[in-house]
Amino acid sequence: MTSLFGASRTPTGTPSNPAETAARVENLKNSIRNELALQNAQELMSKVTEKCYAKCVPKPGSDLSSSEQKCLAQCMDRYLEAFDMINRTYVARLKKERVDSQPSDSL
Amino acid sequence: MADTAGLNLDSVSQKELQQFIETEQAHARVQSQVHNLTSLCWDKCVGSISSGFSGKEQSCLANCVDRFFDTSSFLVRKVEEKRAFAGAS
Repeated sequence: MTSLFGASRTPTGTPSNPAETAARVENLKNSIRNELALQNAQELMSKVTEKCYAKCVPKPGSDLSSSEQKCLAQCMDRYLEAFDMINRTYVARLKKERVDSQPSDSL
Repeated sequence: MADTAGLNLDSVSQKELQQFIETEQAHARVQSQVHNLTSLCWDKCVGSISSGFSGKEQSCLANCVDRFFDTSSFLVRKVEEKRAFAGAS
């Protein structure tokens, strides 16, 4: 992982040309995007693991049985499906709240 | 707020970056709420695992977010009522 702010720093006093500056800004944006996407994926995986372990492995045995494995695979699909659904409903509701609250903002 | 002072950027780029970061932060907050709600609604709505959600599970998940919003605004209203009442007496 490259350091967000350390890698692209130039010595102070160096006159930076616009193209170089734009490239540096773009690089930074990309690192930030990647970092957030990674965090999101990690959070999702940790939640899936926690929830599906709870549902599919009620009594841990000496290994994961084939029925447990089947349950885990299905559970992951269901969790991702639920995440997608909640995401869509949440964003839709946020938009609606924002529109509804706009006229009363003038109070 | 992000510190962009050490980056040797002109003020226009600083502003652009600042704005970008604010947008991404807002997006990350939404994302994190979606994680919380998915977890909450999963526990409330989903029974045993199969190859698809049942109709009941589906509608429970669909309602779960909206009722959460309603709960939140309902309770805010209640607190405001309480405060108004306490202020009046």
